[in-house]
Formats: sequence, C-alpha cells, structure tokens
Amino acid sequence: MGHAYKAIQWNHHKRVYDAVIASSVVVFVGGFVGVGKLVWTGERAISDPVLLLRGLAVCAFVMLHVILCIGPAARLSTWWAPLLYNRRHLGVTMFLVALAHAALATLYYGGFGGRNPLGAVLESGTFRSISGFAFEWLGLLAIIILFLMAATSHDFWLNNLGAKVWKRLHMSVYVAYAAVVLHVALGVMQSETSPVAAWLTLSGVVLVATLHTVAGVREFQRDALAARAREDEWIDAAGIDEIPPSRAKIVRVLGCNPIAVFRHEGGFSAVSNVCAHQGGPLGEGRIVGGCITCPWHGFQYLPHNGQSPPPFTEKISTYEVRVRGSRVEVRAKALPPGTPVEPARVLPVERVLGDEEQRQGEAR
Amino acid sequence: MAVLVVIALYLACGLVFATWFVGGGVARIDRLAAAARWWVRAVWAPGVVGMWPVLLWIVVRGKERGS
Amino acid sequence: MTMSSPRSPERQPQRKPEADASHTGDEFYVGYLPISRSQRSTLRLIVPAIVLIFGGAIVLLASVQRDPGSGVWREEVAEFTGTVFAQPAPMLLIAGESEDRVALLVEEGKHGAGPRVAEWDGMRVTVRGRALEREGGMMMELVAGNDAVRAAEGVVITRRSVASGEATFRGEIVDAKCYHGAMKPGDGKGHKACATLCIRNGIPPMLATAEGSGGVWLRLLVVSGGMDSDTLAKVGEPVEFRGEMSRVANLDIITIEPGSVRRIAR
Repeated sequence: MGHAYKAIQWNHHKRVYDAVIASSVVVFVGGFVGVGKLVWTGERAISDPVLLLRGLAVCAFVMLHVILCIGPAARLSTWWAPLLYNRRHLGVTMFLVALAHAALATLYYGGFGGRNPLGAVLESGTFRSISGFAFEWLGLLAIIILFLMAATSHDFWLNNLGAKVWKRLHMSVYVAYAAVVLHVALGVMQSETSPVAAWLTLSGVVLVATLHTVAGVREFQRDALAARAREDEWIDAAGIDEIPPSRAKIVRVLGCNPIAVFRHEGGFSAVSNVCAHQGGPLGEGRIVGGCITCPWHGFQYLPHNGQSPPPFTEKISTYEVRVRGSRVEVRAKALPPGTPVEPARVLPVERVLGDEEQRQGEAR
Repeated sequence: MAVLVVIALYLACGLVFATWFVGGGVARIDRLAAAARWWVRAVWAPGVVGMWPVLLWIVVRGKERGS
Repeated sequence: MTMSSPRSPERQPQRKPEADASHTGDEFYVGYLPISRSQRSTLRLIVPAIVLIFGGAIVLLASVQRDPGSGVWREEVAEFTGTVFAQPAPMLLIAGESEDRVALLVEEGKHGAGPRVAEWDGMRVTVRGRALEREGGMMMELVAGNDAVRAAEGVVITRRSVASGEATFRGEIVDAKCYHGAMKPGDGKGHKACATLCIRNGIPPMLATAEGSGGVWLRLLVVSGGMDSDTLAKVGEPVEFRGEMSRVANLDIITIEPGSVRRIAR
C-alpha cells in the first residue's frame, strides 16, 4: 500500500450513504415500535423492551438481506454498483443493530434473576427437539461471525490477512445468514400465530438464493470457458469484435485463476481477473483514465503491466496475449504480478473509432 | 457454562494481546500501521481481540507485509 | 463496544476519466468520482424503493404480532390482608363475600417469595405490593424491605382443597409472574429462557391452556416433590401430561409426578 491508514476515507458519496443507512435504521426500528404500539393498546399492550428487541431484530434481518442481495444485483445491473461501493458500512451498522438486539434480549430474558444473563439464556433449550431447540445458540453463532466480519472490515486487515483469507472470512456471512434464518424459524416463529412472518422469511431466502443463482448462471454464460490448459498453451478468448472498447471479456480456465482480456486504444491486454484489493472481478470493470478500474472500489491498474499507477503499489498478474486472424488468444501461464506485456494489436490497420461505436451498438 | 468460560478466557487473552499489539507491536508485521494515528489503531482493537491467534501466528512467523 | 467503523480505500484517478468513459456508453460507477446525472436519478429511484419495500415488510410484521394477552401490572402499591400459605406455592388467601380469593405471592425481579413467606406460614398477615392480574387470577409482587409482610389482627381462614380427579391436560407451562403481566407476551418460544429462569428461582409455574372462546385457563402446576429438571426443560413449549386436579378458593391446581410432561405438536 502506498498510502497511510485512515479510520475512514470519507467522501461525499459515503456521507450520503451513511446518512441514508442511519436514518433508515431509525425509521425501521421506530416504525416497528410505533406500529406495535398502535395495534396492541391498553391492557393488551406489548411490553416496550419486547417491541424494541423485535424491532431491532427485524431491522437487522432486513439489512442482512439487502447486504446479501447487493452483490449479485450489481453483477446483473450497473444500477446497483453505487450501493456495493460502501457495503462495509452497511455491514457494520447491521452488526451493531443485531448486537443491540442480542444484548437487550439477553438482559431482559436472562437478567433480574441473580444469575449470569447469558448463561441463563443459553442453558434453557435443548438440541434434541424442534419446539424446545436452543435457538439462542444460533443467534450467538451469527453474532460471533458478524462481529469478526465487522471488526476486520478495515483495509488494515485486508493487507495483513491477505485478500484470500480476508475474502474467505467474509464469505462466512452465508453461515451467519443460515444461522439467523434458523434462529428465527426455531425461535420466535415456533409460537407466532400469524403465517406472515414465515412467508416473509421464506420470500427473503428465495430472493437471496434466486439472485445468487441467476447472477452465477449469467456469469457462466457470458464468460469464455476453456478446458484445463497446459501452462504454455494458447487459449481462445474471444473474437476481436466481441470485446467492446475499454471493456473486457473474462476467460475461465479450469484449475487457474480467471483472466480478464481488455480492449484499450485498439490493443488487447490480458490481466488477472482478481483485484488485489478485495478480489473484485476486474473483468466486469472498465478502463477509466487509461487504467483498468475495479467495479467494486475503483482500484486501478495499467493494462500493459498490471501495476497500479504511482503512488499506489498494487500489482496483478499479466498474461501474454496475441491476435490470430479475428480471434484474441491468451496464454494460460500467469506472469509474475506487474510484468509488462506488449498489447496485441489487430493488423494491419487499426480500426477507426466510429467503426467501434457502431459495433458496440450492435452488440448491445 | 463451560463454553462461556472458554469464550471469556479467549477474549481476555485477546485483550492482553491487543494492548501490546495496538500499542506498538503492530509494527512487527505492518510498518505503515505503526505510523497510523492512535484512533485508527484503536479501530483495529476489537478485531485484534477477536483474531489474536491469527495475528500472533503472523507475528511469530515474522513475515513483514504492507511495505 | 468500540466498533471499528469500516472504511474503503480512496483512490484518485490518474487522469480525467471523460476521455475513455464517454465512449463506453453505459454507466460505470467509481465511488470517488462525481456521480453522473443518470446514475443520480437511478439512485433516487431505487434507494427509496428499497426503503419502501423493506419498510412495508417491517410495518406488516409489526402489525401481525400475536396477542400479548390481557395481563396488567399495577404501578401503585396496595395492601391486602388474609391468611398466608407457603405450600404448594406462596399465596395469600383473602376472604370474600361469596368466594374466597387467592393471590399468589412473588418477589421483585425473577425471584419466588418462598423464603420470605416460610416464617409466616398459616398466619394472618397484611402484605404490601403491586398487583398483577390476568384471566380473573391475581398475584402480588411484594415490595422490597422488611415491611412487605406484617402480622394482622383477625380470623385465620382455613384452606379447603376440593379434589376433582385425574385427567389429561394440554397447554404451555409458563411462569406465573411474567404471564400475569410482568412481561407481555409472557409466553411462547421467545420467552422460554425467561420462564425457565423464573421457575428455577421459585416463581410458581402455571399451565396456560387456550380456550375456544379466546380466553386462557390458568392453573397452578405443582410437581410432587418439587420442580424437576425434566419438567423445567419443557417450559414454554406445547405440552401434555396427566395429573390430579383440585381447587383452592378460585385457584385451580394440577398436581403431577416428575417426568410426566410430554412435548406435543402445536
């Protein structure tokens, strides 16, 4: 990293983003408590702590769904990219809301009895029955995972754990999600009389699963797939007309990291598809200001050598690339990160810009 | 609850480690981090408490990153 | 907790991006660059849409919460005079014009009144506390301090128990205090841990059985020889068991053997 650590690198977008998150949390929790107070009044009023802990739970659960949906949604449509950019703030806020729920529930249900509240809450259930299932343990598991994710969200952790380990740690959000769904299903849903909560939870699970499946299938269909290749083998990546200017085609080779083949100023360059920052899909990015720009957080690399422009020092692998007739080919062997490779050009004459724009229009 | 005792012990170890780590030990693995302001390093503290075995391993392994 | 606010790296582009971005046609978002007008209008559409859709779901969920029941927890401190009994659960028997009434006794927090009531067993006393009422039943939460129970003048009432035979009962075992109005709802899976803690600490368990009319039949549950771990494990769940029913004043009592409670489907 070529720049000093800061607590948060604020910019206008993040301020707006955080203001929306904070006000949404207030509106969601306040709305839940308010409506609960309107519906059950007088002798049949629900206790305030119960309303609040339910409101916090519902808010955190909803936020978790938004967080999980933004990723695949951004792969399906560029509309969602601005929401992906600052998703870490959404994640940390969600953890804090979930923690508030956990703390309140533990103190309210486990407190006032002269015992350790957490112990009292955790030892009442069993693992051998559905109706008596100790759903609190599932909540604790989710909170531990969400804590580790929130606490390691700073780029310091990305640098010191390494992008691969960091990404894996943060993929455990799916374990946390499963734990939360079961926490709800084996907990409060065991005694709710209305089927609405069950249906909404099921809809949420279906939404998350569908978006991930559709995004995965779309990616699979769009990218070039190659069978396992020998290291020195040339792989057919795309027709020269298939790659729009300043964009890329992703080539997936079995057993290797995916490769992004970019078209830039009439030449073709191939680099690793994996951003050195958080492992973002570079091939879904664009060339902005002469640099390959990651769609996730805007990390940049020069197409011809995979190096971040100074003062930044990130490097990604490059690949040899050539044009054969009307096809672009890459060699499967990854060169050491930052190795300069001369872009491959279409011979004999470079096409004119107007030509490219027309082709791009047809492609879409 | 034995589990809670184990968790508490783990976090207590983490707290001790985090005090040393955030207080300056971090320089052993990340030179840039040592230059960070105290509140930036304080932001890492909860994560250090949770992830201390991993960081301890990185420190012991002695590989310096983040140059 | 001192949470780490997360942050993202700030990258600055090397050159003005327009030269390349202009002919890529469709939108590409980079967080640190000014946002385009069309992206701004898209965001102004989808962000409120997300907030509205999920906000709507939240309002819907808030409005379908189940009935917490009719329990009331009085704020003012009141005094009742009657005869106190320590078994089968701490209770005050109050003489009435047509029928005597029972007020179960508990302490503040999640604690039973057993230790306090033991020395007064069978005596006529005046108790100070806050009343909890539900389904025609009453409970007194004794105030803290030494003057919550004091000797009173008057006639000691004899307690008559009327047995009505063995039967099978269904319902949920609840702790009497929360269910009478200390927590609402004071039953169900979410409240299981609390009910378990209350009962373990000596607050009397009761069987709450839903009746067709929408009301609830509340009966004191007594385990012969004291609360056992098997019964305690099934608090807050739908259960079934056989037991002997009896009645003291307006309080129905079911006496069961340890280990006789079975879980059933709801």
